[in-house]
This record gives sequence, C-alpha cells and structure tokens, in this order.
Amino acid sequence: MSLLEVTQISKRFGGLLALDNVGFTVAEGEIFSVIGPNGAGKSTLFKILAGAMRPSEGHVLFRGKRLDGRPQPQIARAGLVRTFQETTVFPDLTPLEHVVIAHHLQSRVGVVRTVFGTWKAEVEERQFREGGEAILKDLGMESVAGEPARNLPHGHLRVLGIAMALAARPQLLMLDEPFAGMNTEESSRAANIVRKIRDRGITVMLVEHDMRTVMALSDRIAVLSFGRKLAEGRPEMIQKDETVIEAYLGREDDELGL
Amino acid sequence: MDTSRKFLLGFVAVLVVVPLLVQGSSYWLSVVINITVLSFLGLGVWLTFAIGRINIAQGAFALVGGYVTAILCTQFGWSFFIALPLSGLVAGAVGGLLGTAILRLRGVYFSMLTLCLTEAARLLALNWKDLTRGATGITGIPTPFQGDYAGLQTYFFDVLLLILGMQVVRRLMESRIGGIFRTIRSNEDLAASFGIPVARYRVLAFTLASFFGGIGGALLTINLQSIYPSSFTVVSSTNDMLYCFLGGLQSVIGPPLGAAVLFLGFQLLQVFGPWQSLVYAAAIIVTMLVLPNGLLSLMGLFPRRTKAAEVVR
Repeated sequence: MSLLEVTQISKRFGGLLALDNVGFTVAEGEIFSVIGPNGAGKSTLFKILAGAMRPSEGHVLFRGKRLDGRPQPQIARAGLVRTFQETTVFPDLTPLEHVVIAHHLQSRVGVVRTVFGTWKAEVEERQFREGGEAILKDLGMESVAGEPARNLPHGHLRVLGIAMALAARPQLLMLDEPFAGMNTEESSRAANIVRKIRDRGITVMLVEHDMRTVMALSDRIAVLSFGRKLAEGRPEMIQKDETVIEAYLGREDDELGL
Repeated sequence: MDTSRKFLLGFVAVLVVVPLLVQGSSYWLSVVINITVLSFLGLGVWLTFAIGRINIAQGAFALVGGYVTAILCTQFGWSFFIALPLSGLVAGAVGGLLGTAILRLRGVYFSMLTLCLTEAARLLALNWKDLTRGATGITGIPTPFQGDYAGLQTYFFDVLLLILGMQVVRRLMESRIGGIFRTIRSNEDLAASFGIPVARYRVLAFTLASFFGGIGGALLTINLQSIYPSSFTVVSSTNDMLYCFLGGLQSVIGPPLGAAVLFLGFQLLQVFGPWQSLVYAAAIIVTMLVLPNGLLSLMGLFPRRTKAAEVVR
C-alpha cells in the first residue's frame, strides 16, 4: 500500500487555477521529489499536504486516512512532518532545547505533572534530552547544542530544521526546498543526510528547485508546470521525457542535470 | 536558572522585612498590600506575554473574581477562604472559554479585543442588577482578617499567595511547558509542525492568566470590603499589563518589580499636586525608551538579548 496518496487535487485562487488535478502516490521507504519551474504550484501543493491550506478539490490520504483540511498538529501526530524553507527556527532557544521540545508527540506526562516535576516527568525529560542529544550528534551539531540559535551559522540552522522534524519521529518527512541557496558541496552533504534518514526507514518527500541534486537523490520524481503534473517516474525517465524538456525549454540543459 | 532562584529569595526577604519597616503606618501598610495584589494580577498578564500576546483584559477577570467573592461572602455567607479559590476557578473558566475564541488573533488585534473585554465586563456588572446590584455595588463584605493585626495578617496572606503564584509560574516556565510557550511566542506554525497543539497551549496560558486575575480581584475586593462595576476598568487592565512591560518580561520578578515601582512612584509623585499624572506618564514613556527590556535589565542580571518589542511581535 502506498504511504501517501494524493488524489486529483485542485486549488483555485479566485480565477487562478494554481493546481489542476494533480495526483500521485508516495511508497513507503522511497525518496520522492516534486520539481517544477517557478510558479508551477509546488509551494501550494506543499502547503496543502502540510495542512496549511485546504484543497479546492481532491483528497490527501495518509495510510488510507484523510488528512486534507486537518489542523497541522494532527497531521504531525499522524506521522507526516514538514520542514520550512530557509532558516525557520526559534532564535532564542538552543538547538538542544529545539529538539527536546520537538519530542512533544512522545510525551505521556500531563501538564500538571510536568510542571511539578514528578518522577515520571523527570524520566521523560531525561529521555527527551538523550533523544535530542542523539539526533544532534547524528547530524554533526553536538558542538553547538548549547548555543542560542541566533548565533549559529546558516548551514547549522538548516540542519536544525531537519533535526526538529526528526525528533517528532515522522513516518513521512516533507522537506521544503532543502537545497535552496546551497553550493554544490553543501547540497551534496545535505543529500547525504536525506539518504541517511531514508535508510533509517523514514520516507522522504521533497519539493525542490535544484534539479541536479534531485536527479541524483530521488527514487521517483513528479514534475509540475503551471499547476499540472507533466510527468512522474524514475529520474532517467524524467530526463528523457519530451514534455518535461519542452517545459524547461529556454533554460540551460544544465538545469535538468543532462 | 540559579540567578532567578537567588533573586526570588531576595524578593521573599524584602517582602518579609517591609512590613516591619512600615509597621507604624497603616497607610504604608495598605500601599504594600496593594502592591502585592497588583503584582499577582500582573503575574497573570505576564503568562500571556509568555505566549506572545499583550493582554489588556486582566481587569475583566479581576472583576469576575471580585464579584464571585462579594456575592458568595454576602448573599450566601460563605467563608472567604472558600470563595477565594472559586473566584479564581470561575475567572479561569470564563478566560478559557473566551480564550478559545479570541486567541487566534495576534498583535494589536488581540490587544484591542482584550481591552474591549474589560469594558464589556464593566457594562455587564453595571446592567446585570439582579446579580451585582448595578452601580450601587456590593458593600460591607465581611473580612476574615480582624483585630489589631488585621493589616499584617492581610499582608502576609497576600504575600504568601504571591510567592506561591510566582513559584508555580517559575516552575512552569522552567519546565518543558515553558519551552512550548516560548516556541508559540516565537513561531506558532513552526511549533505546530512538530505536533504541538498550539491552540490548546494558548488557551492554557490564558486560562491560568485569568485564574490569577480572578484571585487578585478577590483579594482586592476583600481588602476594600466592597466592589463596584468601576472597581476594575480599562485603566486597571492597562496598569496590570504595564507592570510586566516595565518590570521586565524575562523573569517572574518582572511583574512584582514593575508593580512596586509604578505604584510607589505614583504615590510619591503626589508632591507634584495636579501635575502628578502628567509627570507619571512622562516617567513611564522615558523608562520605556531608555529601558525597552524593562527595569530588570537595569540590574544587569539578565542579558539584554530579547527586545520586548520582539517578544510580542
């Protein structure tokens, strides 16, 4: 069974059709990418999947359960966790505080007991702390774990976004343009992180602009253009697809990773 | 946070020593009692600052708490010590219900709405005559503190509650729940993305704030032994908010510090006669300009890393 099923989604903004009957499925354990030129509807699609927007038509099914139109915390609880573009973090908190708080979904101790620090609450706090430290170590951030996020370099903040999402133990991790603004070396390092996450059994879906990295990384790709799905398939197929090449005509072949 | 604990201990010491200094004067004793209760009201508002909302409704919840105590103690003859927690609970429940509806608003929109709530509460008290006796108010509320030491008893009871309240808020803010509040203040969407039920925690903070409002209102009412629709107005709400803002938002010491300085300051400015309010207002404006992080930053105990303006963005 597919993990995520998007059935013929449309999204209308007044007279503008931002998404026109877009449908695809994401299988468990794969890296699935959605690509497309600017204005193709990638961000709209991402927002709908993340629960920040309702589709005008169509459904989002996660393990057969409808998620479209549900509030964001419920979507995260179901196992679908998103990251944000660029460096969206809490500037006053340290990375360790970020990941400890992001363990929230695993909390079994109520508010009152947490505040008054009962034995169970202390056990939980230690577990979250250890879990957080492990995630930061895994992503190479243990040396800055205690530094307020506002003092951290850009690269660390991008990774911190992924660290928070991982702390929520997602089944499907959705990355919003994870390679935007990165140089070749940085994006290949980030791609390795994505592979590592997938190898641990977390399905990854990403929306991205940077073709080269996506082609090398993805198991399957869907291409959007002007709100429509042009093609879906393995990277080699996408690279050869006439309609895709046409949609990108006028751009450098380079961008397609050819 | 060790500094905050030390600070709290120092504060406790001040609270215990102060009545010994003012013992002879019932005027000054009533001033410190007022500061204590106003600190309690401010502490509640401080909790809504913690989730990034400027709350100008504390007067409304103080009014609710005050009337609950007044009605229970006069018409039903209940003990104040039963009426007091009930006042907090009723105000908290009202706060929770209203909060569910209004907390999705942010910034100036939320503030304006809370300001209107204060005025709505006053009008409700004025017109719901069967319950509140309207503009006549409820007077002659029996106080549990009597005899030669009534003033000191009141003072210590109120101080005890204030310290208890500050401890609870401090523990809350140092626990994971405090971390959740900070994430909500900083970025609600990001907090929701990893599964924090943001709406629920916002309501929790506002309910607690209203509970504190109800308790504070009940305490002031029993101290004055009377309550009127105009006992808590928009001015009271604004002051409760200012105690936090001018005291400092970084620590639970902020509201008591702000309440003490503002209330004492106003009393001391009596020497200016008719110019009292003008000088007071000018002093507040200057303080805000010079110390955007509140009086706490003056002590150099807390780093000036978060501007108040960013906190409530």
